[in-house]
Amino acid sequence: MSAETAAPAHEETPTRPDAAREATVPTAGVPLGVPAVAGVAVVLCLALVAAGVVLLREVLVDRVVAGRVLVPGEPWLAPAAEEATGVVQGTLTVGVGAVSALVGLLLLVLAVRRRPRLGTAWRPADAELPLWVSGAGVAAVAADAALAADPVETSRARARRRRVDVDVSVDPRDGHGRSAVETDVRERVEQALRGLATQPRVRVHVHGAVAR
Amino acid sequence: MSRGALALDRVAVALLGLVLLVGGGLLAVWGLGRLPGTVDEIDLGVLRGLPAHPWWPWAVGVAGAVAVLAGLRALFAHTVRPRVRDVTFAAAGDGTDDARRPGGRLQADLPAVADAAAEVLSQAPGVHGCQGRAVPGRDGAVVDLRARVAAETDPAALHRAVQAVADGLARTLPPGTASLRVSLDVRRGRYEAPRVR
Repeated sequence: MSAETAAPAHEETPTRPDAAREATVPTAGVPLGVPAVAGVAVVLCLALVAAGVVLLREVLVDRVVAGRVLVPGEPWLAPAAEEATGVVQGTLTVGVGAVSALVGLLLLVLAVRRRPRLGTAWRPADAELPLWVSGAGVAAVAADAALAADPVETSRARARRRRVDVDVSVDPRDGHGRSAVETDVRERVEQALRGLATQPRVRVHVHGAVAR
Repeated sequence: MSRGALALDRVAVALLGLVLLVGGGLLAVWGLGRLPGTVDEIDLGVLRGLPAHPWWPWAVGVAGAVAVLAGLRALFAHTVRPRVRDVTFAAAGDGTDDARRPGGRLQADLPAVADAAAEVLSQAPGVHGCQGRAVPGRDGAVVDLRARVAAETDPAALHRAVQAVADGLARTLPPGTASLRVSLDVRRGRYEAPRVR
């Protein structure tokens, strides 16, 4: 990026110019994923193509062009139409109707559902511009923060919507007290995750500690 | 897929869902014999004579071709990723003179701007790589950066680097051209790191 625009009028100190004077780029919203309705639409497109192929086959089957049969076999639709009788009341009809109605309801629900959010906003410095981080990212930060605690040898974390579960292990021969390790790890993880839009509850589980 | 394609998807699926819901419901109720004022049996005998008509092959053939082409076209619409190419904005005078130059238009090559921003961010400490794209967003174009970051990176330093990129964009692009979105892909160095004593 070139910095060839006119510079701001005055800067008293060599540090960052006053943020209020310098407009910054607005932040775009949360990253959104692909909703389920798109998958349904793709399936419908495939079904449409398949139906079209069947129809085309119906026309091309058993036709002789330039002395060769294009599509071998028998037509499917014409005999089926010839044998059409009727639809009667009964269990089969009710079943088909009920299943269709349920499928239709499901499709309606999927059609209006919002796109899934792909991350949580993280503002580590309490600033305006968020960094978008996924659940796996939150877990990685939490596990890494837990590892920084002195007695901790290994750490693993899983992040859910409002909770982060951290599993750490300490050397059993050293006889560390469980609650001390728990508190230490919890504080480190909470500190590392400060600035998340939804501050999660941190649960720590220590392996190899003495119950104290 | 583009926002227009998604809107079409929603409408098409909703319509089909409505037809299935209402049609299926009516069929089920009729099947139980509870739908008053209707026949006891739906006669499909009208279908029997259809294949014999001279227009049958034409109708089926055209319908089949249309179905295949429309289906393929719709399928392709789902594979395209929407991209913003150039963003046009009216050129006001530069910062030093207030006179607006009427009729002057500038084009910003937004993908190039996004690439450059990604390049800058990838130099920041703790950032192992960064990809930039220019995509359409809810209120205009978005410079979308995706950075691979080490888990132990200092969040404050990372945020300073991102803010510097944002400030750079604010200097490069006129206000209202694009917004910024930075997503992090956080990786741990080792999954479980045994401490060496």
